[in-house]
Amino acid sequence: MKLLFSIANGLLLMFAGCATAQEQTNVPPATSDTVASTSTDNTLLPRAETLLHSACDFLAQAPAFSFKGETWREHLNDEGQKIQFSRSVEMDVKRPDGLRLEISSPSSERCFWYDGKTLTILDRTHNWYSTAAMPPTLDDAIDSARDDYGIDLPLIDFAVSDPYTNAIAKVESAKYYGIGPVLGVPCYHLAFAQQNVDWQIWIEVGPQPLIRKFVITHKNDPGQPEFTAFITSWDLTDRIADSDFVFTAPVSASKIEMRKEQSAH
Amino acid sequence: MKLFPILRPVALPVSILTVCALCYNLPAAEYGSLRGNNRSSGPSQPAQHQQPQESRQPEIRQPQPEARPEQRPEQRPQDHPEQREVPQRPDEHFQPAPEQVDRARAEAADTRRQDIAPERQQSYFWSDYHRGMNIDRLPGGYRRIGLRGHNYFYFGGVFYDNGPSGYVVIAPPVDAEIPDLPPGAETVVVGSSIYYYAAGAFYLQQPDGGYLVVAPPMGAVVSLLPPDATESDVNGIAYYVADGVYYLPVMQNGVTAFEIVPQP
Repeated sequence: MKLLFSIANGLLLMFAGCATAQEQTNVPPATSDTVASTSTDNTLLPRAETLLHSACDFLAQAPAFSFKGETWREHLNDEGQKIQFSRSVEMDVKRPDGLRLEISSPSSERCFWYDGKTLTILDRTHNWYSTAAMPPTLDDAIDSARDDYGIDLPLIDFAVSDPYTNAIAKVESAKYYGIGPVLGVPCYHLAFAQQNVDWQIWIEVGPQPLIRKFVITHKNDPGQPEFTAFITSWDLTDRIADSDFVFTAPVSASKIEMRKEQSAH
Repeated sequence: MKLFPILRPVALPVSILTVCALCYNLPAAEYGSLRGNNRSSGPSQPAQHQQPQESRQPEIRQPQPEARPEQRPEQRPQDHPEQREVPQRPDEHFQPAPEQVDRARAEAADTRRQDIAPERQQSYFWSDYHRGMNIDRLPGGYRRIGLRGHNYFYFGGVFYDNGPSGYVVIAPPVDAEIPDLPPGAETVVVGSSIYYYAAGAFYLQQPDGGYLVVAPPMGAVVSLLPPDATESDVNGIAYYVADGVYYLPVMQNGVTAFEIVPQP
């Protein structure tokens, strides 16, 4: 009986080791730089950083990509109830200076174009468009749109030239929560904490570490509303023509003025 | 003994701290990206020991005089209305402090850039009413508002007058005062003043805590047109007109908004 028990234990340990090894083969090896960047109190787990790094590098190395998805944004109503508002999103990126972003719902349809010189916003609902001169790189244009015009470009973190550095800029802790499904796709689940927001990301398990879900928790706001994005499809083929990033006004569209963000006193 | 040599070393740090305190009082903008959120926040602090989830206290904004007060449910029966005669003191409005104006402006911009106004509007009582609409009975909890010797009626952002078959929805009468803002009132900052806008009416907070209907302020930028605005093309430019006030479409915070402009 003791012999059988020992054999059973040995078999169990062997299978457990195999399972761990199977999971490990899908994880890129931690680099020495990643390990060295971990804070001394181990609040930035190497596995989380490594997985995030691989997903970000995958995006950064793609000369062009497109994705489709949905965003869900929480907002507190007058009674303090959290209401979620959804949008369909489509983004095309062609490095270093091409961006097209479509945000739509039955109530509102907007499209953004950036071609290295100009940001154009089309309000499809009213057939109005507006333009503003922008810096020549996508990163700087994104920052100018936000700083000068107060424009929110959701999921723009995917389009910046260095997604990893952008992502961890203010991260204070990182954790790994194993594998979970996102719309049926097994994904690594990571969580990051900062002083201004917390965020979570789900990265597809497999040879293409694609981002499948992204959640930002505005933890310092009443009710801690969340922004959630599901990415339902990715296209990494370079099929986007440069002309796709140049705006052509629809028939009968009217131009309106783009106002700058009012500054504080 | 001269105090300035003593005060000078502390004046600059104190002023910096004051500015920082004011900056940190601004609401956190809610962007749909880390890059957008991170540019709103100040410089990151050195990583500390990770706080357990239970110890994190979400910041609860205390009610400010200019903030939207909690909607009080009104269940008064129709035969017990409240009559208020408003003295004509349009100059005695609540004057917000500069930091309150900045906060209101930041909150308004943050709400606008989320582009959820069209959906939110549909949840408000006043969105189902338009000027000239006839109803046979007032909603429960209405208020009677006396103004210049005439009685109007009010509920949830909608003003009524006596009509041919009961009551008729009217444009909000200027100088009428209500105790609470209508549901979904949009914060609109013009210069150093904070207005509230709902159902085509602009309100200014009064020293007694009530809200006075005021004329639409020039330069105000609102997310939604008044209910009965009509399109008017002037020299090839599309305007919208409501009660003789002209609204010009503009792109603000990445979404279409409407600015009150002089008649073209």
